[in-house]
Amino acid sequence: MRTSIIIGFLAGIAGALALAYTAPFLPHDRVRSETEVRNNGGRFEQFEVAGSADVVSLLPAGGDAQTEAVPSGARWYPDLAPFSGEAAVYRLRNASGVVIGVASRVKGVESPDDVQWVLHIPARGTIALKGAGIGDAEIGSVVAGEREFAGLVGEWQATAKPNGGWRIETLVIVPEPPASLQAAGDRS
Amino acid sequence: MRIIIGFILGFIPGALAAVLLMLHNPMFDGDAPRGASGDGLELAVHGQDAVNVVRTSSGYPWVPSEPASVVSPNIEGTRSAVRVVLASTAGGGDNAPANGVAYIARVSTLTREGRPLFGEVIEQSMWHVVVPGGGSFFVVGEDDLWGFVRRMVLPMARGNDFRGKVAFDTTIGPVRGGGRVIGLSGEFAGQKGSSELSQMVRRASLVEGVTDAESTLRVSF
Repeated sequence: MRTSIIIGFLAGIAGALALAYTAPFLPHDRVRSETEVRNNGGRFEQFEVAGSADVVSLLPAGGDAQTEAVPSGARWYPDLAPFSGEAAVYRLRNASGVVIGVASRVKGVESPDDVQWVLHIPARGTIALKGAGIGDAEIGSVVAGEREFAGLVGEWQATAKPNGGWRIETLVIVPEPPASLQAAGDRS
Repeated sequence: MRIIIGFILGFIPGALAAVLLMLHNPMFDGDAPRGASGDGLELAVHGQDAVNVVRTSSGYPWVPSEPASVVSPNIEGTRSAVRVVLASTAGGGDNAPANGVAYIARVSTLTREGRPLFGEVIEQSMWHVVVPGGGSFFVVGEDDLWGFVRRMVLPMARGNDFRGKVAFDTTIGPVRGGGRVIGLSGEFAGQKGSSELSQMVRRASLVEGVTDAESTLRVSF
């Protein structure tokens, strides 16, 4: 009995330390990314905001009486009244319609057409996009990324859907390393 | 049978001893080193300023998401959090409208890259900061939340809500000196910056999570 208690005690210590090392209580379910490799080596990927069901929060631009705020009654803080932009947080889906993350969109930061997106996919990382709106479409370039998206450069296009949703397409590449690094690689 | 009972009787105190050892390990106090300060922007995020606070998942299965309609397995399971808050800006260099306000959207995720055994509970985040009339930028941050675990888990595990005042400097990366400031535009364009996040918790519980807290994101240019 005493021996089994001692063994159990040591096993308890070892088990707790092993759990603390591997942190299995933080699972990351990674949905397979639906990327398409283009001829130039670029990676094309399409994301979707399905419609009003994917609107987590929405603050319409000041003076926009037709768009309903989400949650109902949400409004810009009075001190932000000079800011005529609009902001929203959406659920983000892959091309197959599976929810894979969240997206933040802010329009009208510096000019009425200026637009910025942050696409956050917990299992993969985050990518920041900046551009401008042209009609129902928005186009621009990738400005930053982290984790799986770190160091990527490229362009994007977002198209508004009639039901309040969005289709966001990104085309990214890994930039060529500087010539000095390439030369070092060739020597090794 | 006696062997199994003995093993269980030993296992539970052994596991508890290991947890207590980790929580009280003086080598890992959970405070991130303070980065260099400079001219910049200080964004104080108060709970009461929130336009809308959204948690797509609190990170704990027993804490409900807000709003419930957001719940989806791939967000829930990966424990992401989204917050849209207002922040006041204060002080800083020539680039900041003093005592103004700013719009912030923050997305963050607890990752498996941290090792609690070594005092690491790592949260990776991206802040989207818009200063009306000033410009905008993104902040990529990596924060170690071990300090929260260390100082608040024990009181909460005893069944008591945490009430008090605990402050932490949490930013540990991703670059030396803190978070990376990128994608600057408007009056911030062309500058280089870093950031660090301080957080103060006043109230928390295992059921509701952190319910009263204040964060300050210092951005130095």
